[in-house]
Amino acid sequence: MKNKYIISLLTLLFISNINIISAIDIIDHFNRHTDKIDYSLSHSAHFYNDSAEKHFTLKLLKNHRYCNIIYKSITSIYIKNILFADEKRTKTQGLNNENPEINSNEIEYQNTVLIKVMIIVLIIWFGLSLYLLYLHRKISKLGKAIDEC
Amino acid sequence: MKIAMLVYILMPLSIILAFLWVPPAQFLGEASRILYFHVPVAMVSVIAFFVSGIYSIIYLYDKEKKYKLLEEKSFNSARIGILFTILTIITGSIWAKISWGTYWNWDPRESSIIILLLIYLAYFSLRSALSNNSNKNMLTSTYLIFAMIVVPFFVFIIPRVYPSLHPDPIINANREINLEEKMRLTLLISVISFTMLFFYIFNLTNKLSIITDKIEEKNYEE
Repeated sequence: MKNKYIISLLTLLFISNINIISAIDIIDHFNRHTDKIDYSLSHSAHFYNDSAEKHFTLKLLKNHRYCNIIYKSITSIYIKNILFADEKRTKTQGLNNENPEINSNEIEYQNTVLIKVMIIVLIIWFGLSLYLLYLHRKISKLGKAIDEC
Repeated sequence: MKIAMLVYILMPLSIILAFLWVPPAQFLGEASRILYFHVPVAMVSVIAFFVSGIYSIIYLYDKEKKYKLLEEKSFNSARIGILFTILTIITGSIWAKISWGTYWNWDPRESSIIILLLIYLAYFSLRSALSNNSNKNMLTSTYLIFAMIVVPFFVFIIPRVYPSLHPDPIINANREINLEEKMRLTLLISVISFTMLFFYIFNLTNKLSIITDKIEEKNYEE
């Protein structure tokens, strides 16, 4: 049970760190495919004569649309923070230099710093999660040893 | 178990807030996001050292030995404290490299944390050197109490007396928290989640000590 929590923690950490980096690619990919799925599901539901199959397909379509709404609302936060991050940075850090080349260099540098920080945090988190996993495994092993005694 | 649940909820939340919600600090840029990990980790290391000192005091006062494994518990807390101090130094030196250009500057705060680390590393060598001594627990507990007395001096006093490269402490002489509202909230959540993580790891290590003690008792009986 506890191992499950640790795995879920690792997954959450992975998602929260990696998704930020590759969010834009994922959004593009998802948007391309989600419309296709939606289209094919609604069409197949329309052509089904059998009510059970039709009901099932409509249910699938409904679930798909719910997931879509949730996913899009999450990704919109990413979009706000990543796609417009440069614009935000320009405002908050006063990067209003007249030479756009200096601004773009600064933005590029800040992006590299952000990725570095993320990698550091990710390594620390994975280290701590592995330490927790090690403690849980040791406790369960020794607990079993006591029971066997 | 409740602490574990809080850790699993608050930790990812603090990561998400630190990377997605909070704007980068002015002049420091994106590197300022380390703040939400560096400061809480440093705070937790101080908490861990205090907990180890308090357990040592209880151990020395408890002459009838009502409570079990108090020395072990103070050792566990000091061990976690060392782990978090090392994490503080790592995150701090990376931040220093990004902001100041070098990993290490012998800044008062850096010097004081390294002295603190050495004090606690000496505790571990003392403990292992006294492994066959009958007064081991008493001596190590006394050492931890003295170490605890030294902690505020190194963490709170020295960095405030000497000029430092570090910015003003979050809670400064004017009794004002010089942080934007979003940053303050994220830092608070991060501090809470790291404190919960400390107590979670502390509970696990204590559980491990209890089990090991039981196994040793059984082996002794046999």
